[in-house]
Amino acid sequence: MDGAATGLVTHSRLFTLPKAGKTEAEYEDAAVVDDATGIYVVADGASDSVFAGLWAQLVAQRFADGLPAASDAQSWRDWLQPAQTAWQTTVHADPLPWYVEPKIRQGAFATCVALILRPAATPGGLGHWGVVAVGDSCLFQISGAHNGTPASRSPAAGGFPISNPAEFGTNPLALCSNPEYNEVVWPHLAHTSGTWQPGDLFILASDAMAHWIMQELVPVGAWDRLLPLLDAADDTAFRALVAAEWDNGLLRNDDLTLLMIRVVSAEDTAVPSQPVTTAAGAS
Amino acid sequence: MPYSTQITRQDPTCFLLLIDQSESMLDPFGVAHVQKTKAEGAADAVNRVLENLLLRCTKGPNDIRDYFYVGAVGYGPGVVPVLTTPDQEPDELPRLIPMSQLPDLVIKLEVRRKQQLDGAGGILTVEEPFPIYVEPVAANGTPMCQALQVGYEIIEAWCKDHPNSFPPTVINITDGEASDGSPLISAQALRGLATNDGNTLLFNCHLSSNPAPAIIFSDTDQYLVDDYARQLFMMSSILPESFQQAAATQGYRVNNRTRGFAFNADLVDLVKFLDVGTRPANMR
Repeated sequence: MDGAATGLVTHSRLFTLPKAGKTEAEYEDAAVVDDATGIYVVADGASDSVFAGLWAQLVAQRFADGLPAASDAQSWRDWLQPAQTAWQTTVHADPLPWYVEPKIRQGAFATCVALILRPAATPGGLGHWGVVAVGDSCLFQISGAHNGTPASRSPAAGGFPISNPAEFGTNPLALCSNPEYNEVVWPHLAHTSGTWQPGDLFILASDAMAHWIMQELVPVGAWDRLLPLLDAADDTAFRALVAAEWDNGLLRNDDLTLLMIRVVSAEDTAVPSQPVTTAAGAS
Repeated sequence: MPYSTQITRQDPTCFLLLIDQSESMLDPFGVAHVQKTKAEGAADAVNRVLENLLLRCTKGPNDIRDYFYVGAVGYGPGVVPVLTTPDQEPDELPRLIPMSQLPDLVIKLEVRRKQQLDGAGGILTVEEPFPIYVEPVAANGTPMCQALQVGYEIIEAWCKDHPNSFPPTVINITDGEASDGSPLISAQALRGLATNDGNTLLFNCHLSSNPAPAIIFSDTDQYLVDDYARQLFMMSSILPESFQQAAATQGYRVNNRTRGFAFNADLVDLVKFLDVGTRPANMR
């Protein structure tokens, strides 16, 4: 997928795969790819919750629609509320059996990572990016200028918001369709920002894929295992890679989402480049 | 590492509940401000475990995933199946039932009130359906050894059919006064049954008339009030490492000597320790 708007030219590819043993319809991650606006989101519906795939889609779309204007907890509560209303409306569209109601009250949960790219002010100059994340969906930045090695000064070089594979577990914080359960989330919204150069690669991944990248690629800079996927004709190579790593026991059996974005060039004289404000860090 | 196999529909695990239904369960339950018999306390504990197992497997309307199979055996007026499907034969071993069939076995739905935060600083009272699968029964002696032996037969067959699954869990809910001998040997035999992922977990829930403070997941028997409690503590499996981590996440203070034992409390939180997928830290 290629896109160009506000001077940002990107080449992006999205790969998805349900957990082995699940059907395509049971896949509960979600992604938004908007090359036109430079917004990219991966959300991962928590499998222990109900209607989690729907919630992941709504959360991803909410990020794509824009971030809150302010960074306080109330602004984030208000920002998420339309997605919560949409989830409630959808799940109650038909009568529910008694055993589903307690689970509906518990709500659906999703981790997420949202990347915003902004173009450089001058051709060949530095562009800016910002990221907001909840839980263990992660962003990686790989510098094209360093022959595929992680951008050493990037806060996402080894993974963001997690950079230690040991920190992955089965109990991440996650955004919930039930407002009650988000109160502990708002103080822990992770956010950071940085710069990019033409040729840089950004990767957004749900937890199992992110863990594998952090464990198998980051320490040895083995990005050549993923880079060919950017130009692959279809997802055959991705599926083969996943199957091999599942067999090797190196990749956890879970829904998988891998979103790769290469910034091809940054030519925009109309829009001055500014650091990206992610409006996170609620308290 | 043992006890690390993912629980999936392809490799489900099982829960077997052994319920003391002897006459002594008519005695009052020793929890302050709770006016009920131990039999009522046992039925409540079983119904809550079943409710939580079903909750974990529910993904939507007509979408209950068979991560767990569950069975229940009562002991008192004989050793009898308690959760039964219509096709259960009288002489057949109690069956382990897939979770998707559990809603069909509800005897009645009670309405219980629960308070919860509304997300805007207020408190809401909500009414929730509470499914009753098991009702209080109390009669005759306490053939706990026999119940553990029936449990052995059920679990032995399960392990044979599911060698690669997460090991079975057996929860014995009792006042501890076995009338057919010492249950230690039968308990040891049951704990000896294994899948490739580890030994069967036997946990005990001791319901007593003694109003001593409730204990859950203890690493010592020194605060237990009587020999029945100490015996049940000894019969209980040590929590596997994966359960210890999950218990710590839930706020329990546990270590590598902590056993799956409760005194005048239920073990419903055990259900939350099982890994059937991502369970967010802020989920309650």
